[in-house]
Amino acid sequence: MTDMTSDSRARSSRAKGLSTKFAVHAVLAGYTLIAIFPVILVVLNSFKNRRGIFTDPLGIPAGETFSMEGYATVLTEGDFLTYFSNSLIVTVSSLFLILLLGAMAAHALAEYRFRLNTFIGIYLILGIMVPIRLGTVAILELMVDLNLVNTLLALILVYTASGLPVAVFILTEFMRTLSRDIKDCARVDGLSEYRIFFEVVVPLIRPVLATVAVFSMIPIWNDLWFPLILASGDATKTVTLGVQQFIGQYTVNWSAVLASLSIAILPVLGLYALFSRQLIAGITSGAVKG
Amino acid sequence: MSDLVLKDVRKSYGDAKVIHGVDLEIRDGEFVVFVGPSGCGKSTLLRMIAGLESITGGDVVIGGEQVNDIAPADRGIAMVFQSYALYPHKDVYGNMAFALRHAGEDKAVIDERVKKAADILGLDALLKRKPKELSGGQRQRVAIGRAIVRDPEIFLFDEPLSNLDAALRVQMRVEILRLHQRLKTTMIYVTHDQVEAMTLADRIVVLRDGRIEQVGTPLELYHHPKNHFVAGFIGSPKMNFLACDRVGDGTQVTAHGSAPITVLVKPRDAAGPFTLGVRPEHVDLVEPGQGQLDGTILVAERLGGETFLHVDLGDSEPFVVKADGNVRYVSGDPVGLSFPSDALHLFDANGDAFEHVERHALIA
Ligand SMILES: Nc1ncnc2c1ncn2[C@@H]1O[C@H](COP(=O)(O)OP(=O)(O)O)[C@@H](O)[C@H]1O
Ligand SMILES: [Mg+2]
Repeated sequence: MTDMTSDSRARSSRAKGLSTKFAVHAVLAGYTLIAIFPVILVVLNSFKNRRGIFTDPLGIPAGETFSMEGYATVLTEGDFLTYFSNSLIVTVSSLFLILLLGAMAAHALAEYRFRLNTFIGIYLILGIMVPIRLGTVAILELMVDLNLVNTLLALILVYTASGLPVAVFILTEFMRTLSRDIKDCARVDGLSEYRIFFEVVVPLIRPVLATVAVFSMIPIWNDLWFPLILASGDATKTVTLGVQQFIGQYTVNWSAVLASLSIAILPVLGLYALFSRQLIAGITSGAVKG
Repeated sequence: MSDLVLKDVRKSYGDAKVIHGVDLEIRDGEFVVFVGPSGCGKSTLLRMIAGLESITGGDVVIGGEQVNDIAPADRGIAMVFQSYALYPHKDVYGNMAFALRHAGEDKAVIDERVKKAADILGLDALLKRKPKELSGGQRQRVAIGRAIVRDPEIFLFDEPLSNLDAALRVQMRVEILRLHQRLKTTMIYVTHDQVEAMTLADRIVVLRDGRIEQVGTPLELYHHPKNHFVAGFIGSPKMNFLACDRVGDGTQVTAHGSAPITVLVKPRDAAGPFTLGVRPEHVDLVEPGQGQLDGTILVAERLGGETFLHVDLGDSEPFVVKADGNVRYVSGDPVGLSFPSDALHLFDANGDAFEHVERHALIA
């Protein structure tokens, strides 16, 4: 009797465990679906002709609705490859600068005791609370004065500035948790402060650098505002801006728009894959464990 | 020549004074242990010797040269840290070779020195492993190996065994001792564990609140502690302290209304209240009424070979007696305590010890 009751209790609790697990996965799957649905829709419709898009937006491209005309337009009309490389140059350069300067600033704030340390720390992360777009007019004037309008450098500078506060904030918090001993050990080993940063600290913070890279990257890649204002010339257009040429005042070439968006997803995916590998490698290496 | 001299060394962090003027001479080849409770400034002092902490006042002199403003790498020291501080992305060989590679040493020389250190520490089979693939003991061995490879004048250890479990700690302690016998290099070792200090040191430096309380050989500190603090810190279980009154010519005391207890110290003028110090191992158990004091057994802690008896004398703290493993006392038994006068300690109101009439036979 007792055996049976305890057995059934165990069974029911196991069943309960299963059902909560199922619920959790259902929620996650649902969320994933909602998040990824627009992307799927974009990619699907990019392979259809105009009629296909409008008569059956959810349908699979097949038979007479299947068409590569969007891709053909994108690759022949306009200078899509240039836009593409512009986006890539701007994103990668900004990311590099954000990570390099952010990590160096964070290292200084976390490692060295100097007067104004707290003040500089607060100053550096104050930008989190002030949207950089509020300064658009001033930034434009500045870029005009510096003769940087319609250059990629203008975009790189702006994105670096806007990405730094969060990067400094997160990296500083993490660097404070790094073991002091390992840096001291490097000092006893005779490394200069710069080499301590590059050879000891950077390998230790790789997973965090990857995290910062991932979430700094997306807004830069997707931004329309600053390319429009600072670099709308044909030679400096980014992908997001380039897509706009297919959106006319009266007609929109949906196939082309969707095709260009589909292509634009690829490099971000690539970069993400790169960083997330770092992230996982870092987490599993147990780098900071005593 | 790598004598180390500290002259009135001081350290403050802002307004907080951490080290209050430390004077110390460490001879070439000596094994010196800094011991003291947590937060007393042991690590700070060691880091000042290493050059990792700036010196607020005084001088650090190594081999006759003042090194206050010399970088850690140029002081001829190597340091082993409590957290091992291995470079996680380098393998064991890479960790041990790192400093030499950085110094631009010849590849063959590096290889030879790393192999030799690995041999001394039994790390030969582990050279290709990453730190995460090592146990705590192995990691600490790598950290020590990394120090050996640099062939320093002075080894600095900051609580290197604190992260290891008890059995491994004993084993590594012996290894460090043998390493010292083999290399004959000056070693300065920081610990809060007085057993480590007693077993390792040629000389122990007892620190409290940034001041040296006493410097001496382990037996000197054990038999002739200069004050109440050192007496209580060295020895395990710790010394018993009884409030007492001096009677007669000043070398006899009574505690808890006991019969006069003779303490073999040189009498001097000092203000009371006085404290009698008795180590648990220096008490004889006798029939009630036969000794100078009577009490009741509270607890008998039996370790097999020995028994720790906690005796109630009416104080808030029990009086601990170390007895043979075969004593038959149980909780509640009455017991008499007899104190042999040559092993007793007497402290004045400041905690300063009265000097013993005779030095212990083992101490020159
Ligand atoms: N960077 C610092 N800033 C302020 N106070 C410190 C700093 N480092 C250590 N201290 C203080 O100095 C004292 C001694 O520290 P430490 O040498 O680490 O002690 P120990 O190694 O003996 O445990 C402690 O009271 C600690 O709070
Ligand atoms: Mg310490």
